[in-house]
Amino acid sequence: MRRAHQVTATLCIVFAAFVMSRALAMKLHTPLGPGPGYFPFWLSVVFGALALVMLTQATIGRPEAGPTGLLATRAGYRRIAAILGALVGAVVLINPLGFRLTSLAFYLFLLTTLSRPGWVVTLLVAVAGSFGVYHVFANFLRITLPVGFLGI
Amino acid sequence: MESLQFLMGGFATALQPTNLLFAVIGCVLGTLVGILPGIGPVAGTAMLIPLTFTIPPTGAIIMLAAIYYGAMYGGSLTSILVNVPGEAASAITCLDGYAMAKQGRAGSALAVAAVGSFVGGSIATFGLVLLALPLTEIALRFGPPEFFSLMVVGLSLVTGLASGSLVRALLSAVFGLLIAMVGIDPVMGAPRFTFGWPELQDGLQLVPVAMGLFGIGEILINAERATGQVFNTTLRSLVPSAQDVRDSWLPVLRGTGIGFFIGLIPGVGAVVPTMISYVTEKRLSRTPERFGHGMIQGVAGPETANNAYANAALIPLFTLGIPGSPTVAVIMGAFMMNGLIPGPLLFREHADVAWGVIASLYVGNLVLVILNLPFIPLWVAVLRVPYAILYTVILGFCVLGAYSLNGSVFDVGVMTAFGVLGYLLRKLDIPAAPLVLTMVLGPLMERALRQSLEISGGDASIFFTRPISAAALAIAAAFAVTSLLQVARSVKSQDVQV
Repeated sequence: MRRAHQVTATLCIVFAAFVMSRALAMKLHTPLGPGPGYFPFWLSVVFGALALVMLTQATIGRPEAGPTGLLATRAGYRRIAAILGALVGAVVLINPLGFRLTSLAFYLFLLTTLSRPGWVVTLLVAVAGSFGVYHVFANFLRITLPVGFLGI
Repeated sequence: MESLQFLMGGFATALQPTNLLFAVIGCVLGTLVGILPGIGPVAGTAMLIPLTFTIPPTGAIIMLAAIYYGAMYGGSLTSILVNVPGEAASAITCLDGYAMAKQGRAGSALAVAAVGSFVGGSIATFGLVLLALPLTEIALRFGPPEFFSLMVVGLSLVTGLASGSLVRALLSAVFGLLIAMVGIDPVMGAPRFTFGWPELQDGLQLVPVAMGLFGIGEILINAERATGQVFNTTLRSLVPSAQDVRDSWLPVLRGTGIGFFIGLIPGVGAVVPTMISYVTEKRLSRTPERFGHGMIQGVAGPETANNAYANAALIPLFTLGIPGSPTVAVIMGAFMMNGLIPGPLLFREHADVAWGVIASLYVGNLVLVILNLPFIPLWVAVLRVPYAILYTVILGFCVLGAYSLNGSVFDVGVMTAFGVLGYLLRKLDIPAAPLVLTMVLGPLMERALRQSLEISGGDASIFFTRPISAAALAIAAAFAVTSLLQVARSVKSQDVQV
């Protein structure tokens, strides 16, 4: 946990320095009063100072017991990667493919990767979550969801 | 008296068939998201906001408020039935609730929790009715310096959300303020931290951020381990015994008081009243050693405190425009999406909406207690679905919810990115709740600060020379010093233990 907090605090200090540099590029003061950079500048100062305290505590303080299971198993990371991959896939595909096909692929991929509940359940959940949800949202709630290049 | 007249008008709005239907749907959906492990009230409320887009503002807020307290109650269902709290505030209910379930008394625990939630919620709502107008009258006299100082009080109370390190809680809070800076500067209109992305001109939206931090983050944590079916206990009668009723009424009353008064303080969080209630019941009990082994008092007190808190936490939002908890912050976001600004002007400019929503809190609490007991077998059936299927469906709804906010994949990307951040924050033991609260407070705070300094010509003494502002800053300082002393004391006691 000590190393994790040291790395986090260091990244926070770098982030604070970045925000500070961007804030300084904006106006800190205008003839009317504080400018657009005023608040971000002082926030970056406070953020950097807190990160410095965290780094000091992690380095010279007593070692702190972190939450149990800081690192996951390989299978656990595979499941996390599958979820994140599905989410990124949805971001990339939802406009070109449309909501229905993207959701269908999203559910099929996650259900077969994470739980394998059998093809019937997988297909039922995937069709309900894609075509069923589209029907409810488009026709009853009148919320527009994207239609892809195939017209669905 | 004036408040009661307004409340009667509010009931006329809340009892309209469509609004009543929205309250019922909200209670059912809220309970559903509440029982799903990994989807607490914050992510659940955020996820369901798109469902309210086509509903008129009053109905939309009524439905979201019902989702909110439905989710608070739903969290207790899973605590009692499967020993998995649907949200942090229900964690303490696991101790005696699940022990009762193992003894075949789950029905009794659920019934007492439902009735306690109703009593706590209803009395807290009455408090809102009594305090709404006097507090708004005071708040209407506030200028930018007073509002800024009030925000500082809210910020100082964020330290109460620190479960472990105060520094890490503050780091999270300041990070929330920093990401609130993204977008067009509220005073000068200059773009800040947009990096040429048009999607960032309006800033990062609260809903995808909350869904990512609390929903996706929690799912990623749960995905680390293979989880099968959640529910594996048996459920017998739903009627509490006469002894359980006798043992519960005093804890229900005490829980109401504890939840209500803590709900008035922004930033304390729902965990604190439930913990205090549990400890109080244990201290007052003649058999404290039996707590954790199925004492009904250990369910009745905390569950009542939880719902009393949930309703009382709406008081600072309605009267001062300050969100008291992350879920209330999401509801505040929903108000704004509907063109309503919570705070003193809400009662002046949209009195029908404000009082309609307040009256609906009573109606919703009644709906919740009537619906929940017959629905328990349905919730149990949901919990029998394998968890991997449940969270796949939740993920699908998160994508749908984030996309339909603005019809933009950018929000889905934001949700995913904040999901990763939420996962890392959990791993690093950094609380996410302060981030969400300050993300809402940030723009309000900046606007008030800059307007104040414009009024005073850059002289910061304006915050100390105006009595209300000075008093608020003194309160904030007192809270900050108290928190620091508590941290110092806990560090010292740990040293002694070591």
